[in-house]
Amino acid sequence: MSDNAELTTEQKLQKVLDIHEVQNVMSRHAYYHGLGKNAEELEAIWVKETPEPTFAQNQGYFVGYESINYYYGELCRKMQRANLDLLRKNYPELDESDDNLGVGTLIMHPLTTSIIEIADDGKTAKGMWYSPGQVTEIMPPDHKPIAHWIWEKYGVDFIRENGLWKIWHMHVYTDFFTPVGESWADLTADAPMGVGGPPVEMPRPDIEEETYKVYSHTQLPQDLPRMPEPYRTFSETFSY
Amino acid sequence: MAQDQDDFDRRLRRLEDIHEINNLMGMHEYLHAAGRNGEEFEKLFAKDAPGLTFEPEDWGVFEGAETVKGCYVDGAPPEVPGLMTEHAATTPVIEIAEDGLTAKGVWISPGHETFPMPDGPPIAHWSWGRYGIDFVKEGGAWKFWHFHIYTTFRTPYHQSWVESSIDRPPYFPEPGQLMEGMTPPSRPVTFNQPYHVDTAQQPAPAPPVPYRTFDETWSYTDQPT
Repeated sequence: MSDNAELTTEQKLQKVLDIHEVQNVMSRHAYYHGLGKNAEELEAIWVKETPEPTFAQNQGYFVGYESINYYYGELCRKMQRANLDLLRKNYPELDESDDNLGVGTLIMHPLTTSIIEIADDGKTAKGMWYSPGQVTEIMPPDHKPIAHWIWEKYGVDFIRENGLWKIWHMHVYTDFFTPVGESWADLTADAPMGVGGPPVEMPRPDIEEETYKVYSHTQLPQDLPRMPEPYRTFSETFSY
Repeated sequence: MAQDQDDFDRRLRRLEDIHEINNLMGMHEYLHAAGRNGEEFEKLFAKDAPGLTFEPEDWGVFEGAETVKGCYVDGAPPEVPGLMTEHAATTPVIEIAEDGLTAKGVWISPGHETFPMPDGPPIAHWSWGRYGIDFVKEGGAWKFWHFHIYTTFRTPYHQSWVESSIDRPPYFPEPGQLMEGMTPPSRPVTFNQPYHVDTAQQPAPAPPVPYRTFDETWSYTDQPT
């Protein structure tokens, strides 16, 4: 257990700066992902050298660089392309250039209600956020844009690589994903990944495990993600 | 040189305090959403400080540790399937007193609430509000001291807050109607103004301004002037 009183003034100052930098990394994630630039996000703000990065949603964990690069990065681009092809059936005036990838979509996952803890050793950090968001995506059967409300929580481990904070383990916990004007008490679904519905084949998680449940009439409130607590070094805490 | 170091230490302490208060507010939201009001009360409320108050929306002001617990813990909705609440804490304005003993903060809170119903499926609502809170340091940690929740609107997911202000959903409790098991308040509501079409919005809660010591400022559960 961390005891802030044992830290030097220099260490305390660095912690405050680190908190700000971790928040900025997480906000950059929101901006990259909102633009469908998941591959660019992986390049800019995710780990490159640290073993076993993970990306998790309600349905399980994608583990390791190859798996995350495909599911979170490459697949997002493929889905944008497939969605543009579908949208062009309704809007044939759209050309199929890369400049039009993401047309008709709108994704915002604002970050609120943060709890951030920096390890006393300054090597890792943990954070969680609420995200009241909205996603407009191309949906079957008409292949037109449909607006949704989406509320999620994030639990994220960060690690310092070459002096910069990077995303190491990201876990997205979806509470509801429901069309605007419809009740999440009556209709909700797991969050989509990236832009658009799933017009391409989706890989199964490397670890298939129901880590969190979307809202249902019979679902008790879920005490997840676990809140970060002050800690000295990563070996004495948990991983998201 | 020693004066420079004192000044540096003081500014660093203020930054740490602001972060700790943001975390405290985040912990409130997570624990409340998880139905852990009892644990939150034990860990995060200033139970030993004189003048602990809690003023939630239209229920009135609850004074003292036992009465606040009687409202926030004993009057909490039962954890049953179909219940879900999330209140996000955004847009903070936080001021730490120069003496480092108290702090003040306001937040805007977009949220949603889903309530099980006795005769039918649960009903989903949008629920927006604001917070005005005084904090006090107790045992070396920041705690909630005067906690005021202001209603902005609560409306079924499919209906605008304008409509709900005119045609209040029939299943809503009457303003001030206590929940089952809830201790009665110590005194009446100081201020709560849900949206209504024919009422101009008052600027409350007032964002805090820099202050030296709590004697110079007001409590968020005092009658606004």
